[in-house]
Amino acid sequence: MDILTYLKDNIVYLDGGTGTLLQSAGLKPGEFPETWNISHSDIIQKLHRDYFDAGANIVCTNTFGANSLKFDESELENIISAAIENARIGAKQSKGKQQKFVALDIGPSGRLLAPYGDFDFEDAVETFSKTVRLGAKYGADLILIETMNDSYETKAALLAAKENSSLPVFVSNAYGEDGKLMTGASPEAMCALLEGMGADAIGVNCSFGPVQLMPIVKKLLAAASVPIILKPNAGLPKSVDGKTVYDVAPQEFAESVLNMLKAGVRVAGGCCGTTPEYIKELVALSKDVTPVEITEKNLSVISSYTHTVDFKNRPVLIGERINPTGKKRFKQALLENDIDYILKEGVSQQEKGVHVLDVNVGLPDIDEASMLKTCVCELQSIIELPLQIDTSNISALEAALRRYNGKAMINSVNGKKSSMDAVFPLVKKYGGLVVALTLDEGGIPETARGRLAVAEKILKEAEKYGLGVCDLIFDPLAMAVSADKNAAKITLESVRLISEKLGANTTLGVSNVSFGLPSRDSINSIFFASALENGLSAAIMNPYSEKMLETYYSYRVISGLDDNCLDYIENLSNQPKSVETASADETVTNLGASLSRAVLKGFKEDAAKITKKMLKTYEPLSIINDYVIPALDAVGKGFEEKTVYLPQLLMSAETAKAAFEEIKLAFSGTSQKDKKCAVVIATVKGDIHDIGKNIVKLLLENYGFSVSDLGKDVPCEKIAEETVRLRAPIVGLSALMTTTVPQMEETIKILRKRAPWCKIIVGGAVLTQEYADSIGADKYAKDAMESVRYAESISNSLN
Amino acid sequence: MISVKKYENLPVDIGEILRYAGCKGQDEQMLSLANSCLKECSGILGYSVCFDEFPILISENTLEFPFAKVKSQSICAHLNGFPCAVIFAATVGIELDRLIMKYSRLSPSRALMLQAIGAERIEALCDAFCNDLRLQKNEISPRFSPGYGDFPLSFQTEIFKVLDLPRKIGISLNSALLMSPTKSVTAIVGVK
Repeated sequence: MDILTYLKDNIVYLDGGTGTLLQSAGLKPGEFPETWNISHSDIIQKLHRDYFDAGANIVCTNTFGANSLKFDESELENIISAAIENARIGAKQSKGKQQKFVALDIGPSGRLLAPYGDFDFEDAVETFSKTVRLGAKYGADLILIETMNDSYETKAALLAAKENSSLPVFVSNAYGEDGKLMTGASPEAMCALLEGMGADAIGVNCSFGPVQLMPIVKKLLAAASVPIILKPNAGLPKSVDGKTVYDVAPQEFAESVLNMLKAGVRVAGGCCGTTPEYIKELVALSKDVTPVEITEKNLSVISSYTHTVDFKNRPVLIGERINPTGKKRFKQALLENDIDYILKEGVSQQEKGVHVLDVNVGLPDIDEASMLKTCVCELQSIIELPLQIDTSNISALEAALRRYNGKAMINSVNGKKSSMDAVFPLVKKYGGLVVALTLDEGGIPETARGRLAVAEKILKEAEKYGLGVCDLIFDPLAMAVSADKNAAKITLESVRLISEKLGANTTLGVSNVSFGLPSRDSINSIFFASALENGLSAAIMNPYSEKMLETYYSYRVISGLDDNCLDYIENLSNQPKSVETASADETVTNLGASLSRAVLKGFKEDAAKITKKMLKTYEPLSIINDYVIPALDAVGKGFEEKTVYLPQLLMSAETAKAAFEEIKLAFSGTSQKDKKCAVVIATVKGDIHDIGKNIVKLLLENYGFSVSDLGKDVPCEKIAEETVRLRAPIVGLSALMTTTVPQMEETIKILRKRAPWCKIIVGGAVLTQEYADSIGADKYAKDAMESVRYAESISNSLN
Repeated sequence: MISVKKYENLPVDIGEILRYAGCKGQDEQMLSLANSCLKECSGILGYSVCFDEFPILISENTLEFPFAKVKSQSICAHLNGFPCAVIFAATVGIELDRLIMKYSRLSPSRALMLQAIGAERIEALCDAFCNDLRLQKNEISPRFSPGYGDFPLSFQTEIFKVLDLPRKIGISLNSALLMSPTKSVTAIVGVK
């Protein structure tokens, strides 16, 4: 019988701790326990046998840290084959009559994934894949991924297991005292991610004793439609006479776990500090417990690396602003690879209170797959909102879903066979809640019944992939009411029909309804309110529109969704009215003086407002040259003379940038004659510190350079490629640590070969003039201002 | 035994923060930036220390632990006369890195101030831990970290192996021997 069949009608017992037992058998601190599979196979076999004798159904191979980062190829193969063999021998020698299985145990890699560490996601997938392939080759019955404290690494391991074997996969995470993973995920978020990707059982291990893990287990039980695993420690460790002992005894341990079995846990064992005695006690105590049936929770949820958004708590607001359609400034940002602009769009929408960010970066002239992947990675590194990946390009969709740290919303599939054939396999593989547009080969049906029929067809096809109604959210398409007076009515009727007949969630791109009309907010907000009344679950909308937000908060009040009207009061009572306060004397000269002062003092918002006013009557280039640059120069000079501190210099630079942003917004698309030459900047490979580099970038941009920022931990080839592509006359390299300076030297060597024309500036905490000379740099800049001065001298010599 | 100790509410030295941020005086604008950053990160800082004690042997500029040996004049001089050493790793957690990452894209001045806060916080944590250690022992040496003097940074890999840091307190080591979370410290203290 295979493990999943057995699990259907039975409680499954796992084994207990390994590490503490091996230490008492003589494993030294710092020694790799996995090597004992070969050097002390008798001890390992006996350990497995003891657990089977105690009544465990599954023993985990002694392969927690068996990966290609620690062992070379042949060592790894020997360890894993020996480990599985040891478990098999343990099973054979055991007198236990229960069903016995061997799980290939996979623990964390020990490296932190990018962006917080330097381990690339695909490298992590490949590392786990090697272990999985060997486990499958040597005949493990299932895979247990355990003790993972990072959602992203957990995803990499699960993906590796799914792509390289057909074995059942159990996944267990180690949570912290705050009930979250070390990198922030809640139990519900892990459930959404892991179930979405098809884990066969999920749960929690290590960290604490059984009592402290109960709150986490309860959350998992409420959210999951798959069996829950519980594998706690024997309480907390303490040192008694130089020996480590745990404070929960077998009897007490078993009683606590028994309670959780009664509450619905289906797979139970022990982690650190537990021994065969604990498992024996647990098996004996729970022998009469009837396994609690596992029910489908039918939740429509998506998740980020921290939390879930549940569509039951409607209406869900999806910010529409990360999208180039009709936005010149956004297009320009995409073409210039200006990711910071896109991040700011994300953060501003988050501040407006949206729950999900739509991400659409489709533009004819860019590599959409690469750009979408980059934007998803960048957004999820600084914003905790779940993302809606919005593209019709299937390879871009897969690239983004693969890297997404959670369960994404997918925009979109439609009733055309080609669309469903392409999108549903990706939803099945990576998980996701997919927006289904009610159109097909015959176009958009003109009636609500017609749109319902397309929705039914899509649902039927989704079911073939094992997806259900909770994995879909239907979009019955808001059409311009200016083109057809009945358009809005039909859409509203479709929303109602689909939610009533299919019990499905619905979403609309609300703003489309007002296309071609003046004062669009008025139409949009009333249409939004009507759609909500007809059962709409989510809206893709403009969160900068006050009317839309007023509609949203008001609707929640009148529908009884806002307890004590708290959200309404919090969000709408202090709305700043955008009334222009006319100052007494707004001559250009006065405004200019105020702008200079704002830059000097670092008043960002003032600078943006003043610039906006000045643009009505004043040449943009003059605003920059007459007011912004002189103020910046004064601050820069103060910094060089040590009367201005670095944070002050930065605040002024950010303020100048805010002024430039207004100018860009007004003049995007037009050529900017004032741009100085291109500068490529990067933090070199291996180094994840980028604050210094970002400071230099900000100041260079202030002084009109066109900066291509490649980020941190950048391989030398990539820096060379970009320099060649832009034929950039200047390259700036940053490194913080002595260990990464050799990478800087390597990068310079390659640049000299491939881009002999460029001048190279280096900087960073450990660098000195001598060091810079020894690695062949053209310039050592001790701070950002010095970089700017040097870049200006190069730029001048080019003209 | 590897132990983990948590701290809470370590007192803040705002002067130190400003010093780390490169400010010499207590300028009002800088003070308000520092306070606003402190407020933003107050809820997300966690203070964890993971440590264990080992007997040591010193001879001919070689320091020997039960699990590893290292040749370094400076660490040997530093621990001379101590029969044992505590190895510890301290961190204020990954959330601060996330905040710094966010502001390094949105507002470098804030990112810089948050960096300075992180530097002050991790030092405060190390000090608090060493003060506790001083109370428990007869005598302790000042702390000494890999990378100081001729004590090689590569000793980090040994510390990581023996303290099981990724699992115990969520610190990991990258290929260039840098730690994540970035505001983390490993160090060795001689104890009697």
